[in-house]
Amino acid sequence: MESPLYDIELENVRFAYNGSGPVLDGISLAVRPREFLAVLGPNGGGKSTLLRVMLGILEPQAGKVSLLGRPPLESVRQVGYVPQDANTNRGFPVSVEDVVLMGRFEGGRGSWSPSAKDRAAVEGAMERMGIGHLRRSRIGELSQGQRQRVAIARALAVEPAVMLLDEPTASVDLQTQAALYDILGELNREITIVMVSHDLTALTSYATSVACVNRTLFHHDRAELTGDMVQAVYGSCPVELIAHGVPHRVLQRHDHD
Amino acid sequence: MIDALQFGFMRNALLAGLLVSIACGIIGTLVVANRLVFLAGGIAHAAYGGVGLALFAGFSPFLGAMGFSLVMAVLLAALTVKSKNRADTAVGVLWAVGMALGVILVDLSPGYRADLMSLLFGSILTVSSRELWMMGGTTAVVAATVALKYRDLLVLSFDPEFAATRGVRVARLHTLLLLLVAAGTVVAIHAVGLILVIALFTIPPTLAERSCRSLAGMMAVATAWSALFTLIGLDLSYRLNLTSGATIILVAAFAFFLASVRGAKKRGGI
Repeated sequence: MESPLYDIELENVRFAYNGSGPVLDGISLAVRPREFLAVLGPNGGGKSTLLRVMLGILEPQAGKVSLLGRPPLESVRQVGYVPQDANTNRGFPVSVEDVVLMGRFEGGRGSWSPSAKDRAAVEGAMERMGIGHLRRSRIGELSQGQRQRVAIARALAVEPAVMLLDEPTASVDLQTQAALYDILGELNREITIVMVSHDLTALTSYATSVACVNRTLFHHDRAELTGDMVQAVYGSCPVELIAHGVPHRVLQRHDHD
Repeated sequence: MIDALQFGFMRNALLAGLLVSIACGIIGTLVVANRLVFLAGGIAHAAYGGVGLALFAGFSPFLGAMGFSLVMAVLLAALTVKSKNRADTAVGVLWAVGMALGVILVDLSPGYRADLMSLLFGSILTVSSRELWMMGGTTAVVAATVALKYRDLLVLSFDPEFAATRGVRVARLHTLLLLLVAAGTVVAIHAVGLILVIALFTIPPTLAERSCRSLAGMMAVATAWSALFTLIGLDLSYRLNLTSGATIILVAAFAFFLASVRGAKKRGGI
């Protein structure tokens, strides 16, 4: 099969949850292979919704979505997804190893049991995230940072062609954060990464492009924020963004170039 | 209670208790893990509509409850698949409508009103061999379905969004889950009745959850707790001449209370 020009393509997508106004409107976006796209935007601006639309979990009311050149639901198994909150289901009776194994699971085809290859992928993913020694632990016994590592290992176990991460560093310690960025940077040599984040450090060091979402979307092909984007997305208070400690490299230089 | 075993009805009751425990251990675990307690309560109570229908039309209340709760499960699945939480109004309405419909249909049914209290609160001591077969068959179907779809159910229960990215047909599996709840409810009706069934769905799995590292383990431990409560409850109700279903539930509730106090102490609360 001819490989598609873009890994993720959205054309004029509109999405609204039942009976409310659109969360996403007129969104067009194309993500090239091996791009590292950072998705920024205010809370409630539709960042997580955008990821769910890319995955096919949510179906847009208008527009077209393609993932790896196909309708999302057909290709979603090649995607490693790290959902926003790894801490919601803490009491659940499941071991770390079994959670990571979920990344190998293939649903919708009768009964499934893991092969030797699946086991090896799980080992590799746990090794990479430094959680091998926790394999038998119950998910609820881990710290927040450890649980986040498990969620990322689960996505790595997929051996994905594309990785979508929803604020993976929101609740983790600095050490995990650094480790995560290193791993993502390394992975990015081979696979496409889309990461929703509040953390602009990631943007400076790793992202190759940036999109700002606040119902509508601004996409910039380089890893920099333009004043227009900040203004349009964050509206009247870009100060908040600056106050987070935006490294100045991120912001476009106005005069010199 | 050993001497009571000479009675056929007591042997039937023990066997029924075991079947109910297996059904509740499996289904209750899924209910607790998926936070479906309210939905399960709705299905169980709405089943009374099926009881009324069966009396009105003159067929077995067991089949009536089964058919009605299965239909209710499909309906509720459609209403709740998008957001489990926001549909609670609809669940509450269907819950009450099912019961009200049952009451009215019973009113309209001619003649003798079968022992309806036994369906509402259970009558494990009067379970017939035929009912045992039906309970056994239903429990076997439930257990086999869960075994076949174990991984799907595990991935869905833990994280429905991630499950969707692994190719799990979330809407379909959610419907299957509620159908299983309906089937489990109908089995459990015999022991504790459709009003009290929710306690057997929730207490044993909650006690089991704390110590288990897998969903299957939780099902097994919940089944064991459930069997213990049923046995003790049955024994007490025999000795003290109390209603069996309610006694079983109070035994379970007492254990739940003890475990909660112990849990609070462990955390240094008291």
